Amino acid sequence: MTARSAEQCYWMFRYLERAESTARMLSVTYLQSLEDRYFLRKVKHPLLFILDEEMNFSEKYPHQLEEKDFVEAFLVWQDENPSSLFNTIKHLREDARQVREILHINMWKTINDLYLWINEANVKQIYMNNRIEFYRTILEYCQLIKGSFYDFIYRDEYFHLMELGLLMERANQTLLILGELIKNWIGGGSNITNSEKIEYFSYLLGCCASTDNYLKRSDNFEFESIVSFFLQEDRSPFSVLFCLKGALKKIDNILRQGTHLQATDVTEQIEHVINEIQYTSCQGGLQKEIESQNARIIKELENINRLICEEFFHLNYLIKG
Amino acid sequence: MENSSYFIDRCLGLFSHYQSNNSTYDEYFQNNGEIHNALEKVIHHFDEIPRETFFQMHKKAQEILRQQGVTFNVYSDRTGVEKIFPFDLFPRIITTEEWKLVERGLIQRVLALNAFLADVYDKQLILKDKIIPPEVVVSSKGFNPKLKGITPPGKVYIHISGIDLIRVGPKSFKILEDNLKVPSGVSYVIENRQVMKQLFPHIFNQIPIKGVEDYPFHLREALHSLVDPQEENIQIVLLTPGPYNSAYFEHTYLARRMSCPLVQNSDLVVLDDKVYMKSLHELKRVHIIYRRIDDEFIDPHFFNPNSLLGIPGLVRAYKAGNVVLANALGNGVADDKGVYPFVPDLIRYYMKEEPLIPQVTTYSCFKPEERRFVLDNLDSLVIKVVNQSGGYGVIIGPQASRAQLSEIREQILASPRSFIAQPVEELSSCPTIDDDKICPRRIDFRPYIILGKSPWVLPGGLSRVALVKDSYIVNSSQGGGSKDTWILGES
Repeated sequence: MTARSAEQCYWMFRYLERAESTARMLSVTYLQSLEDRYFLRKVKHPLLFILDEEMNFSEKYPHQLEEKDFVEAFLVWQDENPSSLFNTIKHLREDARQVREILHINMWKTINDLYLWINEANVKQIYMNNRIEFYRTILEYCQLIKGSFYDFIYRDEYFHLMELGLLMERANQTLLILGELIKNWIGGGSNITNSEKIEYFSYLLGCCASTDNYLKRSDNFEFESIVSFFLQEDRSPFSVLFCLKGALKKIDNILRQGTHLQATDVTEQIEHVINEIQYTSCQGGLQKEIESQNARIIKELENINRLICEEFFHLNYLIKG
Repeated sequence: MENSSYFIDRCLGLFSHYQSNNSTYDEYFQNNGEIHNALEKVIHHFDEIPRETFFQMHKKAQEILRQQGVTFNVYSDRTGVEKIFPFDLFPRIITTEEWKLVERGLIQRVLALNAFLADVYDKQLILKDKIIPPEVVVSSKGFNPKLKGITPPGKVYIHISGIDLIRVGPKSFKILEDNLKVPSGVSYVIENRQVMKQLFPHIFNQIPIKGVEDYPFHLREALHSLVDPQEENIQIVLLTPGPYNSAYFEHTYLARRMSCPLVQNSDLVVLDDKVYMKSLHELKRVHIIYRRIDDEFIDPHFFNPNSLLGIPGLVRAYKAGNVVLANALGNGVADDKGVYPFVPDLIRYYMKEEPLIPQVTTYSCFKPEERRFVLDNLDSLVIKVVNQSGGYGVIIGPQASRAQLSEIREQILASPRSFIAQPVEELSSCPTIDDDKICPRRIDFRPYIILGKSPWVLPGGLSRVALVKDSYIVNSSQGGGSKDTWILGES
């Protein structure tokens, strides 16, 4: 494999995971918005924060913050929004096209199908008339792509890099959802009724498809429990710890396939973050500490991503001779 | 052109309203409206398909190709986006007996052209023996004297060729053009067949048709056979200019089927006259490059210094015998249209045989008497620029305006070596879907030949169809489409 295609595989799966999680969060938020919900009265557009588009949107459309449909369209369709669902799918397909020879035919076909579908003339009509159907179609496509991936792809570096991209993106998304929770809790969210708390927490768990898994682990919806679940539950495929431990395994698998690649810095950094998470206390009264730790871990994840690109894709073995 | 036609009266279904054109040879029907004898069974299978069902299947075929991304890019298209290669469901059909003749003729021709290349880049005996004027070779844009003395492994220059044929009658074909540099289209052959098998499994069950899927394996094997067997871990790569190249789909397709990395120039480096690929872990030695980049762009140190697509030092590695380039460098002289008129002589010279497949009569504007003839008959000839392809640089005299003919006259006088002319050869026609009708449209045929230690001809090929009524231009870049080609097997 070439280092160039390796990098494309990594980013392709980051886009895939981003597309799926964005579609899922939009779908969950839309369904919730059909009813009178506490948190949607208090927190107008949670996804703008979770998808890290709050600043971008406020600068471009300061007077449209009240328009729920406009915000949603911004997150789904806007060309000026590089993280819009449409753009994410476009990037996914472009990356896939550039490594098409590596992908199984089913995988390529499904990615291409998704791209063609979202570009069809009648899709905006589907979006307008049947939002649930729109998001469900995208989710199904993403899950089919992953199914093909796990079923067919040869277990070489390409496979491990794709999975690494998926895990890194997922860890990042979970931290952003957690950040949204902490921000609102500290901002007065702790003074709410139990029903409102359940409503809000189940929404956030739904954003990362984890409601069922959470209920296997816990009987109640408490702040400490939710935070611990998002961060530390290493049996949940969406927890940050699960993703980072998985990332470490993937890196190890990649390193074992050859002798000249070293990834000391990135390995150390991931181990450091894992340690930090494992020993985090999610006790009540420590919200401020948890908030600053969450922000710190998000920054550390950005650093890990940078190190992955540097240590894997920038051909350091050439420089070192 | 369709003013004299006849109805097909033995067909009661799909072809019942098909109007053949008796100024062309129809691939399915004789002049009297009867089906060609050898094709009766196949044609009746199609005829039995209800019309509405067939047209739905045609739509389905385009959809399948669209979903699978079987595309090409057109440089001249402003949008430059991927286009689906239009595909027509009616296959061209070649009988076993016809194919045997074609196959032998193609092998003969490719071996002769290969011998020609080995000769012009070495002792040049054919020039000394005056079989072909030296000026024709030396003035060819495809001839590079700096390559003289470099012998590729196994003396194979033309690892992959696509030879364009037209049918002129029953069991009768003519060579239209040779493509020996970077011939493309074989991926569409294989993909088209997949679509046909999906849509017509009942026909495939009844009629023995030779398979085409194994092409990538044959190619891989042929290339492997040219590397020193002592070498370990032989690495083939497919070198592409990148995802915006017109044939990028084919590059990805072949790389996947041959199970070799698809690389761009930035993925390769030449060190100590050996080629290496920049893999994730280390530099990996590369032994064979199946290159889909023209000579001119492949090494800025040797060819065009402005090329951003090439690998500096590649020709050094090639000269040292450390890498196989498929196809070899310098092949352009052998598929130069200026050399084309002399190919029958090359066959006689190198193969000591008469050509098994004739070629289209060609006038070389380079020769004074032929140039005079061409200038006197511009409005009835097809004029071609010798170093163009893809149907570009072709003026069809009977269809050209006075201004166009006047312009071409001036160009021929200014640079006679750059032009050849041919009589308008009538291409055969084949039933083709045009909107909601089935009409005769002109087609040609490109089979593919692989040359390793021995030659192998793909039992099939790309039949290209001019989708526009009365058109002769079949090239995809100018609106042509494709059909599957069925070589009937032994019953």
